[in-house]
Amino acid sequence: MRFDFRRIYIHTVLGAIGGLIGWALTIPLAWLQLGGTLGLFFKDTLIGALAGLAVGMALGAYDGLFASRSFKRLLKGVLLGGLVGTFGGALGLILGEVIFLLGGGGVWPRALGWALFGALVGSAQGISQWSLAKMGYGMLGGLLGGLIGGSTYERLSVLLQMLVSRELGLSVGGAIGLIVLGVFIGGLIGVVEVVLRTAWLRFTRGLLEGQTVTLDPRKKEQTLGAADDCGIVIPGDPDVLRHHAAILRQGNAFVVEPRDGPVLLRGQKEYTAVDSHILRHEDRLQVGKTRFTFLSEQKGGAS
Amino acid sequence: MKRVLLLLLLFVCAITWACLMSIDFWQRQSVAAPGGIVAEVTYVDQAEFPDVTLYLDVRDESGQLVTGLAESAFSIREDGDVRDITAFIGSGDQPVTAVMLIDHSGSMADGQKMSDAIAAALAFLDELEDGRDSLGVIAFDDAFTVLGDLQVVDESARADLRTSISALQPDGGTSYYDAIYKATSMLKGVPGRKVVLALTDGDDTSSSRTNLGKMIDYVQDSNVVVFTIGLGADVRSAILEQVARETGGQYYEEPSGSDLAQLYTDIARSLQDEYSLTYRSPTPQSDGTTRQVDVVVKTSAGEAVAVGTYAVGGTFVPSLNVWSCAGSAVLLALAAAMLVAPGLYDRVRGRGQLAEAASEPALAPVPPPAPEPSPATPVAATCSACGEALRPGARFCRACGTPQALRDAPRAMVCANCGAALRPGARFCAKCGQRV
Repeated sequence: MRFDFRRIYIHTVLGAIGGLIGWALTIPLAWLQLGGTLGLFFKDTLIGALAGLAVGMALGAYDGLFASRSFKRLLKGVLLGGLVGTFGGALGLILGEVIFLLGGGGVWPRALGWALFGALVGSAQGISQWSLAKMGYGMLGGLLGGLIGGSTYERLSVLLQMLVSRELGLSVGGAIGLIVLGVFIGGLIGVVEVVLRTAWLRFTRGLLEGQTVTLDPRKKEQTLGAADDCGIVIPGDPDVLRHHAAILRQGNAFVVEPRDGPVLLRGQKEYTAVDSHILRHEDRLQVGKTRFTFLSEQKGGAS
Repeated sequence: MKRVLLLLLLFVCAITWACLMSIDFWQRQSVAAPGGIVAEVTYVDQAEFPDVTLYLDVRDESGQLVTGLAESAFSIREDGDVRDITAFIGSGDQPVTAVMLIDHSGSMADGQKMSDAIAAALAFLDELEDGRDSLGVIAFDDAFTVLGDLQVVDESARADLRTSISALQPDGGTSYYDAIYKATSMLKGVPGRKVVLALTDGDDTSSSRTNLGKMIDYVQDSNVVVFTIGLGADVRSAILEQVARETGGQYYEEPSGSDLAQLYTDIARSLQDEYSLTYRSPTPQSDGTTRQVDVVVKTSAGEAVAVGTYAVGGTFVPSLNVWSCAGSAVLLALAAAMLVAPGLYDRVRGRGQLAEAASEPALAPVPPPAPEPSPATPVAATCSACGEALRPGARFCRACGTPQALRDAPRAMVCANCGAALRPGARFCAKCGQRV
């Protein structure tokens, strides 16, 4: 199955949590009474930074919580995600406000501002794993998510004001607006990665069963193992060594190569150890007791 | 190819959605207009937001301005909420703040154009009231000359302006955009309704400091309204119309100059005869929404509704509301539950577990052991610290944890399990996967 629905689902929920926390962080700003254009920009900067911090941290937690299950990587992802999110969020909202003031209002400036917010926040995951491809997926997904979430906010707020009350529409509208924004940014980051990737591993046995891990086509070497510094961390398998194997890129092909431990490849009937093997679509591999399938869109694979 | 299509589909969906959302499909209802008279909001001033000032003119069915209405004739609703009028200026008392631009490029020498333009400018000046209205005058050809800075009109200013306007001679090119930009910069920061009267007889030929787009942005940014007047047959009416429309002004075309003076008189009067109403917005937050203001005007001749809109900045409203705090705590708990749900589901289904070694048919069946013990079979090594026996190739002692020099540990050259030759330094057999 191409669509890793779980990845999309978890990103969506993480985005919603980020939006919700982001909104909670902006509550103290309600006391801030600032007038004039300068005050507006100051408030935008704070709101963008706080919302970006929360959404960036939530999305940055994905790798540590669900893929590598490593506290060290969780910490790194959350910190970097928060940092990139803070700057990206502030920048996105400031630019959105500039467009808003130049264009004289309407839905589009806000949508564009939040789209930029999404793109910058979305790049955080890729930055923390130092993967250009993931950065690209994240930025594109965040852009689309911000565009959708940002354009929905005003209608949602107005609808609530019409249906319930002005007070409620204004207060809850903001919370729902940021949740919707987080949901779309997170969800679409997941969707874009799943749509655009050319090669990935799907785990069929082990702690990660059912999940997929994207292979970065730009990286020459991605190590596979139990250690935190591996490109692909395989958690929860005592038989997987720290730097067990590596996946190398040779031209358009991916090659699996054992490092500290053996790599088993399923032949006709059984798994046998291989030395250095050019991966083809649907090659089934075993490392330690964990099994996974290599899937790719490259031509020449037996797809 | 498929993924490019999928991505395109995503893009199209997102943009379509945003387009749908930009349509105001929950249109707020305006009060029905009973007719008899016509009222129009000419300008919404939100510089003092949440105090908003509306400028409107009221005309009867024949198009004549209705003057002399009292504050009680007007009522204001913003997005349906009735608002109190906090300040009111009636017709005839409205101060005018304007900068007049007079084209004296070479082409103005044709026929009566120059003298008509001068006469019109003087007519406008005559309409202004001493001590209340403010006027600035700029004459332009290739460059612009400030004939009078923006100042409250009085006896001496009037006389000075008369002299300098009457002395204008046609010459040179047309730097129309530069001149509007300069006029706007004179008005920027001045409170209230600000107007530029921009007369030209032809296309902009020589603006060097700005261009059409930048000029319009600047004018909008400064809350200035530009009335454009095209004199003669050679005007580029599309551009003049665009400038007027995008700044909230009006475009007037005067093919012959004979009615120009009358037009200027009318413009001055309509500005002075505007009503202005100030009220406080019921939604003082900068929430980035567009608000609709309905003004109902009741006169003895009939009723009219004028509709104006203004947009406030802001991308998002933070708010303090106890209920939403409690609600968000519940939502957060719900989201956290949603986050762990797939993992729990896996555990119940027994997924995500490593199969027990016993029921494990994964590895290739172990081939029969090599017939002869390999000559390189490791000699049982012992720990350098405590003497405990070490596994072949062990890097640490199992008993005391002392690191062992790897070099000392003898290494097998042939796999002990299947007998295959090993790569130098290999730690497992490439054939059967057995650790060496």
